[in-house]
Amino acid sequence: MTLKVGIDFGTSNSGVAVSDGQQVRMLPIDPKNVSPEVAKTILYITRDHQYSIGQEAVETYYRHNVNRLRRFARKWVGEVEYRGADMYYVTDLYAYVDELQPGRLLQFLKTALRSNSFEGTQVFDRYYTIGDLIAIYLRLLRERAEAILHEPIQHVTLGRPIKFSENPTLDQRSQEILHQAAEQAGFKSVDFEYEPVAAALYYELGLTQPQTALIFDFGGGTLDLTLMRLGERDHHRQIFANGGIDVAGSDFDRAIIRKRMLTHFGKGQVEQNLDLKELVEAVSDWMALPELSVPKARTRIHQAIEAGVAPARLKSLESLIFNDLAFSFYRAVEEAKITLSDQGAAVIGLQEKDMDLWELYTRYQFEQDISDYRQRVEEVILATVQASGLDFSQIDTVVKTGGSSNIPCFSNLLSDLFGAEKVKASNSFSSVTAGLALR
Amino acid sequence: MVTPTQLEEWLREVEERPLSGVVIVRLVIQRLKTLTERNEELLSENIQLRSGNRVEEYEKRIANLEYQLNLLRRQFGDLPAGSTLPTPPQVGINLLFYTPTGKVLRMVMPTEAFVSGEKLINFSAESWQATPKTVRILAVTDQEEILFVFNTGRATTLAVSVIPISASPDWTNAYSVDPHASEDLAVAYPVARMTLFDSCVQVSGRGCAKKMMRSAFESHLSKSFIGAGVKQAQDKTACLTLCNAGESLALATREGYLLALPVNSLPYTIEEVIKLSSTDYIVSAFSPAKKTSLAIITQQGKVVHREMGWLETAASFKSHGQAILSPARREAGTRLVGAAALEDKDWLIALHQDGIITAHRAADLFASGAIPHAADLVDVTTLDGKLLSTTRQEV
Repeated sequence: MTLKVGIDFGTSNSGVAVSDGQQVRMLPIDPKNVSPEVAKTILYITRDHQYSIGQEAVETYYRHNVNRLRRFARKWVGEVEYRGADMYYVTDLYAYVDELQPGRLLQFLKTALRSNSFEGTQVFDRYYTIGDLIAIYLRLLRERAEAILHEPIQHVTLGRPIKFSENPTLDQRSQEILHQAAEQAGFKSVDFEYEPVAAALYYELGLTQPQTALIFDFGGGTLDLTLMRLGERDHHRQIFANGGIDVAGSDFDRAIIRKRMLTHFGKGQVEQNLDLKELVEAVSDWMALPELSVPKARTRIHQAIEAGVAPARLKSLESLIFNDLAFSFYRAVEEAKITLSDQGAAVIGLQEKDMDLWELYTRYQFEQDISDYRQRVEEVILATVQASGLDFSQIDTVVKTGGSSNIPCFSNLLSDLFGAEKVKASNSFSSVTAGLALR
Repeated sequence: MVTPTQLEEWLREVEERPLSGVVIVRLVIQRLKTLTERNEELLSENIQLRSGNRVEEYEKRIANLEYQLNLLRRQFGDLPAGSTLPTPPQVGINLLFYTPTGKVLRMVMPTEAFVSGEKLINFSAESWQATPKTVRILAVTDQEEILFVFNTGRATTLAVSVIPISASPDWTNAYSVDPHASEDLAVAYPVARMTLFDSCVQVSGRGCAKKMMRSAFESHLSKSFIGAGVKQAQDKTACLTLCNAGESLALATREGYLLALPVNSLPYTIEEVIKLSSTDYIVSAFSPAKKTSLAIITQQGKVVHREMGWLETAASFKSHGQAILSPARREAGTRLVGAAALEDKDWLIALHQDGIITAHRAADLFASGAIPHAADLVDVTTLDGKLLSTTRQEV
């Protein structure tokens, strides 16, 4: 019997599962990771266009980049045409390029997939579309899986959120790009399944009697909700309603940075200097930060330091930008956030060259910082239930999956709405993947 | 920094979940522990800095880095074509002999060769005959950078390691710093440690001085301000000295006067700072900082030892300085060849009129009061005892 393969291409983590019809198992696709069944959705591209993913990408990135030397050179990057009423001219454009940059680390590919503004990026001498980047990631994932299975994988079921975007055109475009990327990665045929539905299929394996379940799939990029009937003998699965919003783990990380961490880099002390203020505020934008490492920014920081404006904090900012510590920083924030799911306080800390970050962060503070998001999540749950035409009492169970579903304030929200006894936790990182292989 | 709002928020967390209190205390204690350890490290570092140990370490490190930088510069063509390739660092002390004609002779003396009171090396009779009587001597390490100042004010720097090593004191192997036509090499001075000092003081033979701040030193060099601008055309740079603000500058004259001036009061433009007789001139300029003794050496090899406290700092530039020699001895023709601030462990290298170079530990000189050698002196130079002891340990 041929194996069914499912791939959950997640915002933060990805996984591959296979099913032989009897049982489903997650493949250890990232042996270097703490959980080998999960690979970080991170791609590292070196200057000579060698690729690595997951933990290997992280380690290569650290080895190549942190505290490395930089050398900026002014390079011609293109030209701009000016057309006025009575004039026309072309001018050259130059940019400062770090000639010693050994590679680029790319993450949040799935978020970029559903972005209207991001089409691709220049990585050294080559331009990669978002489809190219995802194709490379999926190809490496496929190769790893094939190496474990010792057989080629022709067909794959890929997960997709309920809505890549609120905009139907963009939603369609995102799926098309993902489809093409999967084909480019070497899969002969590609199917799609909604991620919460996949999680439901996995949950259904353990059912002894039919249930109406709300699948609460809350990951790194989106919250997806599906209200459906599961466990019928004829395997008929009626979907009552779907719902979702663009709120998830990465938004919480950004909120923490914006509200708690920017002061460590000078916020509140550089308000008079608009350039510096802009630099500090860009810290919360993971896409903008790598672009800030240009000589002009460094000069501004140095000038402010020499003038005695928040010297220690601006030195930290310089270190963050120019020692390639952005990834470590975001990771520290994310780790603290995860810790807060288990305990009441955690430290966001980073000790590196010219930087000594220490922020004691409590669950109370976290819940204050994401209270707006909590409100939006509550609204979308209520809207989904309402759209299903069901009453709360008719919902037998709430299955939560995805990393962000472990955040206590959301667990409590589900308990408050449905009753604690109805809220069941499925495997946070593998239930969607496993469900995709079952389809 | 923890703000009152944050503290309030932590307390709210503890109110809502009392168990969090334990976690918060644990995390704060960990941080406190880290900060305490770091504070202790910083205090230790501070003590090292204040005691000077760290400064010495950094001085060595900087000198080594500068040496490496120079190596790279040469490797990547920063030097004019035809420059001699650098030689690897030597274990030993470099003796440099230089003449007004721009000839520089480099000899590397193993540290074992330094035996107090003994001959270090000697010029052969033929070689010594070819040696101008105005030859001067300098003892430096491999990592040093030498600033050569010409009487026109032009200056050039050269890493010691670039100068070819001579196996014997023979001027045929000498390196030339290429003086221009009608130009004389006035003085050579090691400047690798310039970054550790606030200023460099230039002193002319006729007692004029000016202070160049560290930040402006580079431009003084590039614009040939250094060495130029003496009051009299025939006057030329006699000495350069690195000084820090708050220290004093000591000047020793040929006819036996010693004058100390506060560095802070020295002018930035050339100005006469000591009154000299028409026949007198400056033989040494040095900063007595941190040294405990003064050694004043006469042409005949007599060493006058004084405690540093003996040296009085003059208030004005119109002083003649303190007399070292009695009028009778001065009348009899006794002259100074140099003076230096020394510790007991430091060394003095003497070049004699018979072409012999001898080495002497300062403590021995202070004890005997004389350099035990028959021939008169041509020039003397000092060597920091730490350099010799460090190198010896490495050996």
